[in-house]
Amino acid sequence: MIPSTSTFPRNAEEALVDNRLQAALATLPGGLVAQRRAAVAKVPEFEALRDLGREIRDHTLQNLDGYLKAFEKKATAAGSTIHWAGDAADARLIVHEICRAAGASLVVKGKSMVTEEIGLNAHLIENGIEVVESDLGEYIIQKRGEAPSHIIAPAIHLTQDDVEKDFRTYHTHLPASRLLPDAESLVAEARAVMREKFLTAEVGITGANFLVAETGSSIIVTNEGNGDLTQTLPPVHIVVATIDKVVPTLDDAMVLLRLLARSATGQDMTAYTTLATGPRREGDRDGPRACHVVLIDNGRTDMLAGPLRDALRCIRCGACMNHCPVYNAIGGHAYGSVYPGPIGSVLTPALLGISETAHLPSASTFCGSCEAVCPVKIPLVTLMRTWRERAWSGRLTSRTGRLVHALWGYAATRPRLYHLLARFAAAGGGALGRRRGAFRRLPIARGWLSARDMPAPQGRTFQQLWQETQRGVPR
Amino acid sequence: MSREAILRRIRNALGEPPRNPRSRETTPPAPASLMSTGAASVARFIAEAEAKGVTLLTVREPRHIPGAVARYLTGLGGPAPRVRIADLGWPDVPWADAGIEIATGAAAPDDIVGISRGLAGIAETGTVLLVSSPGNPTTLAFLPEVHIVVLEQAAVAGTFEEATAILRATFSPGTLPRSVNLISGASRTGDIGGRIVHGAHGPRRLAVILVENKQGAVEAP
Repeated sequence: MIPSTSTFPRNAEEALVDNRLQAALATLPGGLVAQRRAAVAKVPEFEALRDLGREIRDHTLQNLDGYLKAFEKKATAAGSTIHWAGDAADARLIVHEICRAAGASLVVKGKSMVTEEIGLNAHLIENGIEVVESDLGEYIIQKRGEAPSHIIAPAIHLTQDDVEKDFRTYHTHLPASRLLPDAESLVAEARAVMREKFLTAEVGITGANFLVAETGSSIIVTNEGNGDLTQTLPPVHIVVATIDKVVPTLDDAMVLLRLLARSATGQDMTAYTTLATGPRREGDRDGPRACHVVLIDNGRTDMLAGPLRDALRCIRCGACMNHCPVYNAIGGHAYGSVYPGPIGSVLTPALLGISETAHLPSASTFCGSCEAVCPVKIPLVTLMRTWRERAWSGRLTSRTGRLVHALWGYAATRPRLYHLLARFAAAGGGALGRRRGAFRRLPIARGWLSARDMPAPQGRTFQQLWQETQRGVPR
Repeated sequence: MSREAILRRIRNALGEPPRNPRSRETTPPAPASLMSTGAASVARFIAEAEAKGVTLLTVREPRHIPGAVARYLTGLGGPAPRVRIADLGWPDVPWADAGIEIATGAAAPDDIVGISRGLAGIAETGTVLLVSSPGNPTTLAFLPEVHIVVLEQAAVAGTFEEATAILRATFSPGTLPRSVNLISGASRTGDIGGRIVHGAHGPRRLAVILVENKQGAVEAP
């Protein structure tokens, strides 16, 4: 069951009390977060590298049509067929038509977020084509009927025991008495199952981390090598990518690759980074006979026109979610969207409309950790605030919330009134709460106080203390 | 929506002026902490690759490659099986003398060992760069359980920018072979409980044989 964005508050509450999920999420700070920190510490110039990454992405987006045309020209010259898709439905039709023309009954797929975004698997399966995810994490969640809970570690919400149970459920062709005592034995089993698929699939579908205008190449990065088998063994290779993936030159791609692996997993390079350029050449002994590239808009041109253009710099490393206290508390599924975490809270309203997704930009403390680690310096907090403002002006937030915010706004824009109320609250709250030092119950804050106490004010307001400090008055 | 419609939407979204030239001619050099030259590049290449679990073997001449392969495979616990080998570009490499049966062409699903020819090494991260060609099939790097890359020591570059310069010097401007593979360690996954396991879909082991100098090459005085 894939949760919905519209029920985000309930999804989050359920996630908070899901002990299995909490155990899996507890590995994040010591895992991906610590690994990134160590990798970044080894490159003293990392900050300058981030600025360079931002500059490359901004420049490309400012000239996006030119670089797309250049990519198209080079890729076509290399023998690829380029397709353009305005939205998800267009893209599904194009990919299905290629598969149909190839007589495909089995498709293997590399890990690709955009194919999740356009709902490709469901469409192909509805049309009688078997689709098998080849990334191990994606394979596991595909078997479970789940969505990825993280953009680079899709099965991060699962433990080894979960995977063993799933493999025993789904791999019924293997003896039930087999031993699966460790991660190695589970990986070996998946490898054997997948090999058969790689060797018999008629079509391989991959995403693209980048498209290179200089050479007409698509770049994928994997640690498993599944993407390479996907785009080398089947007779037809389809690259599915959104239009924002293009970069001008090979050198630009190298700069972004330096940022990507370090930010994502703390590796300096993933095990396999591959530039694929068209189908097999004359005399080649392997590789696909045909190569198609599907360039998808699906809302990107709308984002390009306004402040959301900054979000199109994203290189999908996942660092923003790894470092987000909200993601760390509830995991990826609670967001109910393909892209979770801070970048998801910016992208999803752009893709699905803010009226369906108004909860997402509020799923942030605005602590700014996401911005601090973003390899291309996307102003995630500012962009989430933009969506909050649109949700507010579109009257999409709750009535109580709107009332409280309206009252707060009224007072906050009238300093003298605000000071008066603050003094009253500080003095009154201080007097009422002095005996216990904290409140356990307050009107309109029941939810907030269900898991914490509210410290009682100490009698004076921040402004009073500030003025005294400025005047040099000792407390 | 057609190609023209998407391109028009982009143009409308960006507005005028239609072209923003780059503020710089080329990408700036790699960060200094990632740069190296000459002998330091070879040392860094070896250290970075070994840190990724890659086995590094150094031989003086191409004719020593089969012996190194045989010793490596014996060290893995078995006699040298048949190996699937790329065209390494050297005549008369004495495989039979080392007791190794070789086959050429694309890798078969049951191949245990694949040997590729590397175009360059990249010291920055201990990465090997392979390009596909009729004599150097891509599947050698992904289907077998053990992957071995033969690389001339002189082909070890410092950074990724140097590697792209090698690609540009080797192939016509704006073109690349079908597959350019940057390989940094054996196949691995962390998808089961976050623990790293090798041999996910590709090779469980990766070895690099560095050939110090070409057969017949004149040594510098």
